[in-house]
Amino acid sequence: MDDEQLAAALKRRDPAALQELFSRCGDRLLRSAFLLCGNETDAQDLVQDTFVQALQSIHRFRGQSSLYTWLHAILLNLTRHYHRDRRRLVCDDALARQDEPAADSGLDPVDAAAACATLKDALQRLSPPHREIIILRFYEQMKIHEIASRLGISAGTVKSRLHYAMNELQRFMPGDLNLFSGPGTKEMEKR
Amino acid sequence: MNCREFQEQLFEYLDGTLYAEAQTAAAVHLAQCNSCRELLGAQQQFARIFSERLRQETESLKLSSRVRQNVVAEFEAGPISRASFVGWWQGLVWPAGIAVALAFAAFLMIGAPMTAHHQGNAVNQDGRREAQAVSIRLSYCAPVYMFRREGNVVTDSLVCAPEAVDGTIWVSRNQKPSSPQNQRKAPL
Repeated sequence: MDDEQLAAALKRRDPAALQELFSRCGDRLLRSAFLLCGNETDAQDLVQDTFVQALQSIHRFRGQSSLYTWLHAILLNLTRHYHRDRRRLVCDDALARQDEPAADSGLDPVDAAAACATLKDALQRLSPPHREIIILRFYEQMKIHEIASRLGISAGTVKSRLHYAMNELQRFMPGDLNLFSGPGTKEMEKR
Repeated sequence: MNCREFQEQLFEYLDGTLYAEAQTAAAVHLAQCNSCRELLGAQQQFARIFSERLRQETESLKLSSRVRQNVVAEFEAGPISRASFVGWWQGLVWPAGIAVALAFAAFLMIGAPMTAHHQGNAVNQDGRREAQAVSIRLSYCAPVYMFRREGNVVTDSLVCAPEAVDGTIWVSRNQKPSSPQNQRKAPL
């Protein structure tokens, strides 16, 4: 069953089609959501909302992209709302700083990077727009022009944001992933 | 093509989305420039290892049965599910509030100037009543946006506060209806 047939079955409200959608996109969406928000419980909720929203507007799916791409666009939109709502909830800067990892409250950045044990932690230190672009590029394996189209920004902005995000990521990256130590890196940083 | 130009197009080169001419120029530059070759190699290595690590860190995650059940329940509930109804209702709160406010403003603007006139002419020279009082009550819901602080968390909420406005319209046999008295009451 290809995407168009699956979408047609979903429009007919075929329960088997929904199970097929779960098996085809569920885990993959969840993993992407987890990387975007950094919390498994929230990721599960985001994916649930993604499926519910998608099923309510399945008649709008025109088959111009894959079903996964369409679902992922919905997920990305919901994740942005998620980050916006979280920002709105925390109003007291001083108290908000207490919630941040200890590395941000006085430790040297080198120590912070050393203390960062997992890639997930490193990702969570990025700003949401930088994290979003890193995930789209390296997890979803999207090309520059595809990211630009998905996010509604120019290719130049994508490259600039990706460049800064990668540089930022280097500060928090576990040692074995610190690949930019050669002369090429220095030139890239000058760019 | 120089180093700066190559590095500006590095991502497109990796994607293979450069035009043929630019692709050729980049290949020529790479053959001559050691530092750009190293940069390209580092980028490719980063992308490969980073992508692999992202997959390793997330491969144990599975969509929970709770989520599957909830989605199935929404799916079986039909296109007009509870969630969509709530969304539809919430979408109408502000337009409805504005419409009520405009109607109320129009009511005050039209009714108020006529009030004094009719109060003074409710009884004619023969002592007979020319107008008859009709009491009306306009009930509406006013949207109220509130913030509540709990520790370091501020929660915002939009609630609908019931309000009512009482008024009296004097209806005359010969004249147009009017509203001599408007009195806003406390919330119901």
